[in-house]
Amino acid sequence: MKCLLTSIPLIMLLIPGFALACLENQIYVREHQVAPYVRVDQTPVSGYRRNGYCRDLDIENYFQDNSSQKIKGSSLKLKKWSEAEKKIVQSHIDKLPKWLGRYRFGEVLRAETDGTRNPAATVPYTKTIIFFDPFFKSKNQRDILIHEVSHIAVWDLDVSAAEEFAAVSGWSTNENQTKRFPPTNPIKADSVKSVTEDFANHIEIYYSNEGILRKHNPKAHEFIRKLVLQKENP
Amino acid sequence: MKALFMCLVLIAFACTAPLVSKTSDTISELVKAHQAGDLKLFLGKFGTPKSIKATKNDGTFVYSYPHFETLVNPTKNEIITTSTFFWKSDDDYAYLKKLFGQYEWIEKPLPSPSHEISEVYSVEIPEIGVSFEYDRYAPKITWIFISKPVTK
Repeated sequence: MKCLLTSIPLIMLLIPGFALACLENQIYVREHQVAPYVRVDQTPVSGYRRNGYCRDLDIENYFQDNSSQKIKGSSLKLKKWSEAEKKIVQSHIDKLPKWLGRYRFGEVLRAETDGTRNPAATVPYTKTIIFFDPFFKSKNQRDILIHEVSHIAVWDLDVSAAEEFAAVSGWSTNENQTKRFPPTNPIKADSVKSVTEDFANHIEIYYSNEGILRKHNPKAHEFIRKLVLQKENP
Repeated sequence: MKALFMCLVLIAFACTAPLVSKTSDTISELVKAHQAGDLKLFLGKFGTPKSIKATKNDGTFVYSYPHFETLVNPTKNEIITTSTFFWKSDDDYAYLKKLFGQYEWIEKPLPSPSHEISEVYSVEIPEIGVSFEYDRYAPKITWIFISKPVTK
């Protein structure tokens, strides 16, 4: 009995750590200071440091006309959604591939432009997607949405899968192990920015033109194919 | 009753113990290994690499392990630099701050196109020889580089 009691904490410590990635319907709230406040029953509560945690997204795919987030980008001017625009975006959300459709967004925002012809952008940390004017003139709106949701979905990869993707896509380090290098033949030019941008491009092209991906990089194609199969059939 | 109480106390203790994760352990152990700089100690800790590749520089080799690679010089019994693929949580930056926040962090903004929603910083922690980059809007680190610490 003594042995069992003392071994329980040891056994628990050996259990793989809790998943530190939030679920699809959650966003991660960073560690922050909670100011002192008074409860409804008038009990005063001292200020305290709250650890980071995953918060459930109560409202799904939340269309917002403005945001309390301080989002960088001097040319980012948020504007009101029209009902027609909301319907367009919602129709694409409803038709996302099953596994991508499981992701919930913290905020879905509308802005004029980011200063370029960029149709959309994502803040993965808060699961926020921003749609710009060019999105509504685009003929490949579905591909754009798949790309943006992939920026959120990539965070669900475990370390082995993320590393395997980086390797098959062509990311590498130098011999001296002091620098990392992007693929020399990226699937899209902006793939070189980051592994997450590269991943989003791969998922987009997998769904829009799988043949291109298969021809460009058979190993990356196989990785994505297996990943999608696994995600679609959890 | 006493046994049940002890059980609950021990479970509560275990539940509040710091989460032991392979990656955070590996990072901490790699940092320690580079502080020692000793290849034999390194091999004692991490075991035989899954592959060994000679580099263009005489005498140095890259030892590959799951999730990290280390440049070594066996003749000098020395480990030189390590790159590790780091992909841990929804906020890797905060995670590393918890591990290494007691050291000085030197953070510098890196140029990024003004229209992009990104703020990329390079981080150096000289006392433990760690460096990496992160985006404040998407703080997945991806790669961490470790070398010999700078002693003050």
